[in-house]
Amino acid sequence: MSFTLAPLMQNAFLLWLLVALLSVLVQLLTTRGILSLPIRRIEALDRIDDMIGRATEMGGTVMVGTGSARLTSSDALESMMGFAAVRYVAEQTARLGTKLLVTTGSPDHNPIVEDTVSQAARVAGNPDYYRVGEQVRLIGGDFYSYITATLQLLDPQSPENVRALLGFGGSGGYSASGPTVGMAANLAGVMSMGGTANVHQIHNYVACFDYAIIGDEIYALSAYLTKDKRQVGTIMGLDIAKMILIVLEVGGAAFVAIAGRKLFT
Amino acid sequence: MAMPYITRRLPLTVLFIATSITIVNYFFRGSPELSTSAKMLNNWAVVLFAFALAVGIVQLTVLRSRWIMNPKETPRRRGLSVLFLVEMWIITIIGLLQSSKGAQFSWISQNIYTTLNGAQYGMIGFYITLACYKTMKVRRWDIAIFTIVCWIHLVANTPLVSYFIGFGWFNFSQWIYFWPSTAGGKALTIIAALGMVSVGVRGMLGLERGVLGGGGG
Repeated sequence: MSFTLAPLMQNAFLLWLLVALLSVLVQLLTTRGILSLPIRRIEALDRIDDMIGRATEMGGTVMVGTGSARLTSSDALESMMGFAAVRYVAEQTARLGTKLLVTTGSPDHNPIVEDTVSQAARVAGNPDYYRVGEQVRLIGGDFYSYITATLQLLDPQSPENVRALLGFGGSGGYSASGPTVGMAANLAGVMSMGGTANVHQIHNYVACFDYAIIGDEIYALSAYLTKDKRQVGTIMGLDIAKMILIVLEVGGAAFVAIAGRKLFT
Repeated sequence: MAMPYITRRLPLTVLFIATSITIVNYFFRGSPELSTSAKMLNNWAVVLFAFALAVGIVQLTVLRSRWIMNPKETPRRRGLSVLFLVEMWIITIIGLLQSSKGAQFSWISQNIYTTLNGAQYGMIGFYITLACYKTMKVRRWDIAIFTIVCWIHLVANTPLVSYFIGFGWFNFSQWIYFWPSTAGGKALTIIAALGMVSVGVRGMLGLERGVLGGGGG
């Protein structure tokens, strides 16, 4: 049995290996106290507590959406970050006694999110806060129903009285969901935060949500919120990998521009 | 404190083995056994998704039934819940009996589902228009850049402008689209891809436990 790298995979594999090795290395160094690097601030994530606090003062509900990406799809990682946000928000709302509503757009999110909210309530010392089938709601199996139900929940006339909206996770790659939900939240006077790594949606999120988490920031969400040293270590590893890539790209471009013509002709 | 075996250690071990097989199979060729294992894992994922779907349906049935039974709920919510349950179970049963290619199921899909989807999209179209208007407002310096570029594109794609000032403006907007915009997009794509790899590595190492729900601790 012999292994060979799949065609066109050499560069991708090297990239993967670089990030993996750096993540493991920096994680080891940080957990053992040998290395201490500051993690950069993500302004939007620092505002989650403010949003929960405001919703609590107004007697409203904090709504968290995990998107409509299936866990078998390529957008699943964004939904996983949505679960991490659910965990954090549920702990805070359970402590404060604030109403929580988690909306899912794919049925495979539900068992995970139900379990997450239940665990968060126990950790917050308020196990009675979790009510089966009340706080987690499946509102759609695809983009259209997910967005329409979200709009209905954001309606000022809705009995849910949503005062803060946090939307994470892929929504199936539809560029329209960002402005639609962001706009509805804005019209209803709801504080909104959106997170996506989808390049087609990023500009919409920045323009329409009060706070936006874009690009790789969303993948740092769980590490940032939990402040777990080992997870933060992997984020640092990623940042170092990014710097190496930037140097390689800029250096490579400069090299090709200056000497490339001579070398390749 | 020792890591609970059933809720933490076992799922993390399974996660590590499954992701390792999938990743090695993605990058390397040469082992039919590995390829078969990876394919089998993918099929299992589909089966697991079907189970999760069933959980979702049961949960919806329980929640809606509770609303219907509760006299304190509004008549609107109770009525809509009845309608919802009837529709959901009729479609589920027809789908189970006929598969997705059955005549009645296809009819429902084409004449009800697709039509309602179109109607819903038509309704949210107003929000999208409003959102476009909102993005044109200069609220911060970064949105100012966005707004300026939006206007350049908007004006360039107006036929009257091309008629009066020629194609120079249009070419300028195309230059923005193909060079700075594509470069920015590529940068974001690369960075997001690195982030995805990082999450994958964290998952393999058992650090990213959000997907385990409450067991993720």
